Amino acid sequence: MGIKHKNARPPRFAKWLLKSFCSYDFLSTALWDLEELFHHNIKVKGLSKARLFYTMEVFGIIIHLFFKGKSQYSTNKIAMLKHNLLISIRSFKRFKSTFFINLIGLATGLASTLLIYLWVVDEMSIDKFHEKDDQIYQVMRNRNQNGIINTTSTMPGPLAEELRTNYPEVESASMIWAPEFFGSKGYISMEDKQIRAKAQYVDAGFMKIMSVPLVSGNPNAALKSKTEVLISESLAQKVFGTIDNLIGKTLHWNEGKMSGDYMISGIFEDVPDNSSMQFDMLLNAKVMIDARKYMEEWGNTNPDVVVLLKEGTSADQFDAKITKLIQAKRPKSSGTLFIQKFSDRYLKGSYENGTVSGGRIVYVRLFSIVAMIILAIACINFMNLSTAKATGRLKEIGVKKALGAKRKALLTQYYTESFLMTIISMAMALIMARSLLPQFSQITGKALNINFTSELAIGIGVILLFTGLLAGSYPALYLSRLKTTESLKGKLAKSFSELLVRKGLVIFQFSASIILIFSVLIVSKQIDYIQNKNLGYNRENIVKFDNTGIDDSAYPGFVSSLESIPGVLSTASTGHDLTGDHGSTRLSWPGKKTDDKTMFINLEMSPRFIETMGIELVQGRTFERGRINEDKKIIFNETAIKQMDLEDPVGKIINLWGREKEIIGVVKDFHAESLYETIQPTLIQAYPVLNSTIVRIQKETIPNTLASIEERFEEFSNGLPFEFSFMDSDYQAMYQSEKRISSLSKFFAIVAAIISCLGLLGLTAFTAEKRTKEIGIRKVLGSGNWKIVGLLSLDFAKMVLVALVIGLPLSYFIAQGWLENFKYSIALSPWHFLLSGSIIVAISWLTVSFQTFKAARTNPVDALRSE
Amino acid sequence: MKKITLGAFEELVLLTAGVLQDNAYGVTIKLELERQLKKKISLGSLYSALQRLEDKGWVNSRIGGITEKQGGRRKQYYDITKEGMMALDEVRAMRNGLFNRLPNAKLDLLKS
Repeated sequence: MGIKHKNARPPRFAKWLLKSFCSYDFLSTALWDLEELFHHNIKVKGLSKARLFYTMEVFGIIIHLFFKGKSQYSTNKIAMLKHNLLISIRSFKRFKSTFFINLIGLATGLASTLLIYLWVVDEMSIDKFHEKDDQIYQVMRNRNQNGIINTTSTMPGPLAEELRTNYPEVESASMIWAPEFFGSKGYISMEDKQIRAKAQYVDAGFMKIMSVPLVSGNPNAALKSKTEVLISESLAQKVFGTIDNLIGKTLHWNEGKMSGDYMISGIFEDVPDNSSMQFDMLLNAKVMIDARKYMEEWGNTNPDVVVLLKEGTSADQFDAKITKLIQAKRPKSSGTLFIQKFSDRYLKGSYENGTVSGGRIVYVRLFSIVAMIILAIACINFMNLSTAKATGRLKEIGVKKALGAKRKALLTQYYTESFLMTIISMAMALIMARSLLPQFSQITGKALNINFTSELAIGIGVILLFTGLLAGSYPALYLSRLKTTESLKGKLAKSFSELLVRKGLVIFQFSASIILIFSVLIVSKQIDYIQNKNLGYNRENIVKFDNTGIDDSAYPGFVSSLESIPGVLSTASTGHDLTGDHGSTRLSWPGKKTDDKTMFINLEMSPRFIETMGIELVQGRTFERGRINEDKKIIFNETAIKQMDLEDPVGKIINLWGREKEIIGVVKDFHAESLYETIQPTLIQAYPVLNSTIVRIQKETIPNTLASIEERFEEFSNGLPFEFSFMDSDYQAMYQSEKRISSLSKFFAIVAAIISCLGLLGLTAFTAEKRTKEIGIRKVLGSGNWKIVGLLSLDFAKMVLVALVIGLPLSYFIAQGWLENFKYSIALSPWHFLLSGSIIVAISWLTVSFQTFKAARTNPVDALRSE
Repeated sequence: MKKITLGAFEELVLLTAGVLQDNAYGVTIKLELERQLKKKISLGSLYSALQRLEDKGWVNSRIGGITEKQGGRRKQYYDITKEGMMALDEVRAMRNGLFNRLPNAKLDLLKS
């Protein structure tokens, strides 16, 4: 190791820092010691630690020089730094209101930035914890359907095996059936306890690909057989009350055909929060294949497939190699394969025309931009107020210059001031962020924490540097450029460009605020619209629960028991909920063109579903309970009938999956998916029992009725507890990310507006103060209060107007772009512009008037007395 | 005149400088002190202690190992002076005096 780092150099930055603060004699001593220590540390602790220690030692030396050192050991930079800090603190004290406006503005801005930073870092960390992250890829498939390319992650059953055996680049491959695949409905029965669990079905290779550390058990042998199971620590605690000595014990698992006794062969650490796969049991995928023999064919698709490529394999080449794999096995198929890095899928999970088109990354970018805008708005306050206050400090600058201060010295002074300001604000921002964190976590649905790791320190450091430089830039450059004689005379040359810059900055602040406020308005209106849109069915007062635990044979008895409860209006059993992601299928009908590839959404429901949901029947009849041959009948929505171009559809025969079915009815269109999608052709088939039950309840009796339903459920459910949800809350959950975006943007828009107004407040105060004498004279000459208010407000009114002119069109484009994502959206109306415009005008006017009235009402005697 | 005092940390540094004899400079003192105290000591605080000791005349510094390079480095050795030894001795005498006056009952605490 010593040889490897023989030429290692200490960090250049630290050395430079030391050189600028230590006197020559002391520097050479310190350098010797530091370097010797550096090489010593490399041997003992490694290079990166040694570099870190070097930097820390340098900071230690400088701090000692600053606080205790004698001047002979330091350069005069230390003295200058002390002086600059002193001047900064004095100027903060002298202009207290400015200081507080800056402090509050910057701290709020920094706190928002910090929160967004935490959120972004968390989003970026999802799935990145796997040790072999760089080599893990997921296989994806493009399918061409009527010219539209659909991208899915479901793969033919034999694919993983094929990749493992016939592709040398693949170190390991595994199928994955996520718990959600079966609606997470399985449960463990242990003596008389029933415990729900999320089981994921995978190949043995899964343990090699993903990082699932075992607390006990042999990772190399895990999941080799069909009869074993791995469980998580917390599940073990729940089931057995311990995590010790469980290896070899059996547990009984209930999940459809995969039910049975399994032997525990290992306990794994709980899956971390930043994993996109959440499971607490692992079972062998062969169990799944055995239960569904058809999965052994290339034509059926179900599991996700992940591969671990060998180190050094080119992903692009492998990608090209497997493109046609499915077609080679099954010539009829139009599917092509490609691979995507597994950890990229969380952020980039949307596909358009077969390529990655975005996903959550859009929101990550969006909020990063919002953070930067808010920070910029806060920095602008500092810039504007410092330059405005410069008039008060002209003599200071003049005297310094006359005594020989160079421009660089003044620059340093103003940067010191801005950095000191930023550091104080950052301290406050940390406190603010920390106290807001619980609410913020709730809004984002993440458990965020401020842990003082080196990463956060670097993040804070970068934000500090950026803010300090940005906030200090204009005052430093501008003030240091002033001419000595003029500043001594106390006259500030009012150059046109300077005023323009200051006004421009205010206009920027307000334009940004307008855009944010407008966006908030549109987002919340759109969400209201979605939540209240007529979906073609009535989702209120419907309770939904799983049938898990109830035997199919007992189901009719359960239903009649339910319907005898007075508050129950109607019940049905459903195989799908109406929040999206249904299977779709092709079918044939009389007069179908050969090239027609229309896909129909397939809804499998029991009789009385249409009545229970309140879907309107247009023609024919609905399914009837107990009537024979209902399985040979079918119902379509209007869009489907239009698509098939059938006249008098009732009574016509269509062919679905090789079986003939008679159309008995047509229902009005209803939304079976999210509003991001248009209404698709939809078919409804009837089955007597499906996996969940919906119950429409009389509104007034909900609590009592629910209690009775629970009673009946537990009578039939073999001990499984009653867990239900209301359909309207399920529906709202579907738009959770939009709601989160809405509350987040509301929060940040308010922050932006507050900070902008703070700046305006400071500027008005300053202007009013500057024009005290003018106001005094005007009043003496008989001007009224209102005239003076108008005079003082005019400038700001102009700026806000210009901001409106810039901000509103920009808002229009941004909002329009977002709304285009929805197939059903609100239309932008002049109303929206008027409302957000008047909000901005109102709050800015309020801010300004507070100061202008104060100025207008001062006694002119006070204003004119002193000269 | 105010009496010049020897702080606790200064005393340790001075002792270590004496123990290391001719080889007492920044790094050796730091490493030896860290070994004895079993905690980290920053060069910054060590330098400020050494500089104070030098001002008080309890150590002398001498230069060694100069490199020819521009802005080069050099070793600065610290030798304990007679006055330094006297200061140490005085502190030790005072301590011992106090220690000897401890009643036996308190000394017994050590044995239990």
